[in-house]
Amino acid sequence: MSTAAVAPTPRSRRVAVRWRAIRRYPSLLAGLTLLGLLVAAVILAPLISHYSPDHEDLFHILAGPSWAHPLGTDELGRDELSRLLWAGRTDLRVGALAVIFPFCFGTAVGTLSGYYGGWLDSVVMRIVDVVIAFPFYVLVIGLVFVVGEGTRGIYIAFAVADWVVYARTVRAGTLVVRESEYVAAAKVGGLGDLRILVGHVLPNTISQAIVYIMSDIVLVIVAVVTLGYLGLGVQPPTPDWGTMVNDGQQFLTTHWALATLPGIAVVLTGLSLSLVGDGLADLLRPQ
Amino acid sequence: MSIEPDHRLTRRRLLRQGALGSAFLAAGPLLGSAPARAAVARASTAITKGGTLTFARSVAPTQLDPANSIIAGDVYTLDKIFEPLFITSPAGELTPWLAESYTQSSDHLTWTFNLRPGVKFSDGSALDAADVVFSLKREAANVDGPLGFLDSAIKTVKASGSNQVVIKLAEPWAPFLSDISVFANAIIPANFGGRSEKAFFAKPVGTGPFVLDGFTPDSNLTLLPNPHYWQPGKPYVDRVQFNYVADDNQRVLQIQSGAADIIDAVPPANVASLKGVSGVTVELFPAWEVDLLVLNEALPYFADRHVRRAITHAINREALVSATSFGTAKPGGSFFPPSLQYYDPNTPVLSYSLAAAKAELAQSKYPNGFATKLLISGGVEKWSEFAQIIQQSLAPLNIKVTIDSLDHAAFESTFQAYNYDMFIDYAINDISDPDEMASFEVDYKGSGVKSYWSSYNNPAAIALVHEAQKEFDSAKRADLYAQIQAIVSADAPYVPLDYPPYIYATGAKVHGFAVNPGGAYRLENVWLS
Amino acid sequence: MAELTLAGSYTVRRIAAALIVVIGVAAATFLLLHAIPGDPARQVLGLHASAQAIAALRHRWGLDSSLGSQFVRYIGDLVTLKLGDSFVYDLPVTTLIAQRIGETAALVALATVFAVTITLPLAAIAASHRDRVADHAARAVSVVGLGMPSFWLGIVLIEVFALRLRLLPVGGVGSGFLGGLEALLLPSLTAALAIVPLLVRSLRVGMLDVLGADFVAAERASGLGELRVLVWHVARNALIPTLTLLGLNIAFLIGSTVIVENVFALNGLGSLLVSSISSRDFPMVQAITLVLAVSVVAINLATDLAAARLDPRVRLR
Repeated sequence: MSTAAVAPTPRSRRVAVRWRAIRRYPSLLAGLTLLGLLVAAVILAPLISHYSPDHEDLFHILAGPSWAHPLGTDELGRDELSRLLWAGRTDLRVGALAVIFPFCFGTAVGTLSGYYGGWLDSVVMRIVDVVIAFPFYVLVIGLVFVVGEGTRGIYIAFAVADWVVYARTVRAGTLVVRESEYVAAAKVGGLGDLRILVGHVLPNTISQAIVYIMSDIVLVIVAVVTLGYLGLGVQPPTPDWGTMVNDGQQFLTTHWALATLPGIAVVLTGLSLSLVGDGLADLLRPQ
Repeated sequence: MSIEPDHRLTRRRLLRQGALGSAFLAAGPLLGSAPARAAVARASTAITKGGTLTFARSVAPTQLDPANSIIAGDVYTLDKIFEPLFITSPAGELTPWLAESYTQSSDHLTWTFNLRPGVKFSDGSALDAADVVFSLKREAANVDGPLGFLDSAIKTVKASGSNQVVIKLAEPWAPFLSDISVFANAIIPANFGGRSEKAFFAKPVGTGPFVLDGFTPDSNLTLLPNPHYWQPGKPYVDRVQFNYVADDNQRVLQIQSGAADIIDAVPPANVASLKGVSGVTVELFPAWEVDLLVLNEALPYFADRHVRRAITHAINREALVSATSFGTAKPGGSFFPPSLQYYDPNTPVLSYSLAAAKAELAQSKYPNGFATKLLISGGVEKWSEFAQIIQQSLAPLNIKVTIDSLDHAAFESTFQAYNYDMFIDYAINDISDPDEMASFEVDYKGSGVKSYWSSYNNPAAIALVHEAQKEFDSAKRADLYAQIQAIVSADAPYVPLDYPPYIYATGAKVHGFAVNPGGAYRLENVWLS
Repeated sequence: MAELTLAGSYTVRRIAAALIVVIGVAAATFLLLHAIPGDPARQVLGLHASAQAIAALRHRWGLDSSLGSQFVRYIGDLVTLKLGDSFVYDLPVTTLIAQRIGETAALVALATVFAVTITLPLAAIAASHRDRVADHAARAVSVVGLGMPSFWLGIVLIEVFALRLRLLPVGGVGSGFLGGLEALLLPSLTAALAIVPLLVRSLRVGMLDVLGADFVAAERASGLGELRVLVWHVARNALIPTLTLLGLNIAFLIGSTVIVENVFALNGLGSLLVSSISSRDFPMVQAITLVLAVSVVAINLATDLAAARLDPRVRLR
């Protein structure tokens, strides 16, 4: 019940709390449900729509909704629903994969930096500051130019630019946990550093990072969209919501659905992920 | 939106001449078989003077030296300040400008130009032969500059009196008058009017209708009327404001709201809806421009003529144009655009037929297809759409195409290093004479770039190009270019995909605006009601 | 006495750290630019430039010496504040930057104002109605900005407010102070909406933490109105995380001007940066990146020092 440093809770109690809590946290439930629906829809894409997302019909472009094409066709006559779903595969995959390295690396670095302090901490924090200060799109554009376009460039660009937030967040939490009686007791008890870090420090700091993953995935997707706007996104003809928004830009005033539907898809994904994130934050906040 | 400068209107400089020669028809400029579109005449009302013309453009100027300019932003700005001896009218005709008349010797080696009397520079000094000599010599000497080679036919340039310039050519050269009309040969004061070169171009002095007022790089540039302009009463407007607006939608919104009086590069997808906006006129000007799919003949499968013909047969250019240009462009056929002199509408074209494509491929060394890469410049919607259509078109032939979209700078350095399989880009003719395109795309050695980087090398075609450069009889020349177009069409070194027009939109109060097929527009004829 | 020294040394340490970061950004920019394919000399001279012309220009720009010596020269020039001339315009980069920095600064400032103005009430509603409908609604509303790319949002806002309702200009910079301000309204709103979701979430958590604290419970028990409690205590205590948060997000905001300026045809550093990257104008890209980075560092420094002043515990970091 202290307002200063928070005492870490023992493991067994946390697990018990979690089971009950998921049902008690409506945002978590809503988020997981929506996310589940989205993931299911994109996985079942081949079943939901029998068109290949690449199949062009050059004489039936920009068609409105019809029985054959529930959401109409795009500027090359491809089925919009099909492209939306297959694009979802690309984007959710890219979003999820792109945050793995930043999450793992950032958490690791942040934990070590916060725990050991000293010159390691100073160096790491300066590097973090440099990356944060560097204009994000310059970094991403530059890296995409260097390593080549397409998803590989995006993964690398995010690996370089994105880990810093996790590092900072986890480090801040580690600093607090480091001073707790619990950790002190573990040290006195003769536990090795690694065991302390993994068993005692990490479980209490990682929740913030996990919460941030949710927003981060959306940020990745939006960044991919913006890269598409600059002509540097996913290589055609692979559909992704970003290039769909970009391709639809020239029709914004005439066939606004082309740019709007993928935008809505991104927003819904963002909504579900942030509901999950909020729910997790509420859930994992030490009581 | 694109992050490349001048992505659509980047000039492509052509030509490196080897042996040149032929007399140009003394009968004056020639139209050839292409119908030319004159400037649209609005309902005639009395011309009102004054007002500021706000022009939102997709290109930005960086500097104003005619001898060192290549990008559209520079070219289409400095041509308001400097003028050449001849210009190309909106109808595509060579028109005497600073030169009032000319004569040529019977061996076509000596050309004498009579300067228009009474022409003054914007500082009040009179135009005389010394200025012309200085300007042409400067451009010809600038062999490292973008267009120095255009003047490589010139042996000597001399003043004969104050109003006459005599040019001797190294060899007879048919396109000479056209070359003289290019913006790079615009006339500047001799010795920069006594100033240093840098100081001169910071505050340039030309014979053109406008002078530079203000310049904010990458933003805007303003022009004021030249008080000493030789055409009386012109220009009509008080001020020209060029605004750099890179984003397509923003430009379209500006013309709709009236924030801009004229916009360039209207996206085809917006043409129909813009036409419906009251007070906005959308104009399509024929262009000497062709979009090409270029095949690298240095690679074994593209060295095979049957493969190239198969690819050409497999692409449905009608469908491509229908889907991507919204009725504005025409499907490609000959490698000359229809509005260009000596375009042959009867060129036999390898028309769309999957059966014919498969038959051709069966005769090739690669009947089972192959994998290849298509290089495009990213950020331009049109190339991406073309690439995806081509990818789908070649799939039935088992030719598996992977699209490689690079940023513009990387794209250019890649294909210029011949480091590509296929690439898409456009070719333009800046001048009225078709020799520019013919040489650039067919003359393996003479073009300096191995026939538009394709490595296409057909000695018969090259011989015809050289012969056409020497031929002065219009009918014979037409026949030569018809043969060239037929050979190229049959060899299919590249696939002319479509002929896009220049699309501009103007507001209700703009009158007298027209664009020539080279993409240039003169603003002294524009008035605002 | 010890307290003062601690404060002073903290400031000194933070400033030293800031300088190191700036040099780090300069080094990173240099490395990145030189790793990008595409020759700036070839870009400027065009397709037909001869090999000699390209070589001559590369020599003039010092691009033909080794990477190491180029880097040393670059850092040396930086220290003496010599930022060089633009490859494309042949003008000093400082001239070009000075012309455009005002626009970007105004955009960022106005966007910050919008962001804070929109975030505070949303976060307050969410925190004070925790887990009830209002909380979820407030957060859902803010998420909308997260998923929408700013160029899409920008065009939609232009369509609605500028074209249909004719309330604001479609783009460009506008004339005079009021005209300029008017032209910045939609772009600033667009940029602000992108960071509002993150700000709302974080501020809400910050407010909840404070709301759950003992002393606030005591205040509630003593009968003070919820609103007063909220405003007085929560706001004061949430100020620190807000400041830090703003500092962090300024970087993102400044970075997003790149897109917003293009969409609205504003003549700021962002749009110049984009065209400079594509034309491989090294000195221009390096200079603008530094200017943006220095701004971020300076703002973060200011917020850190302010936070340290308000909360001594922060200095332990």
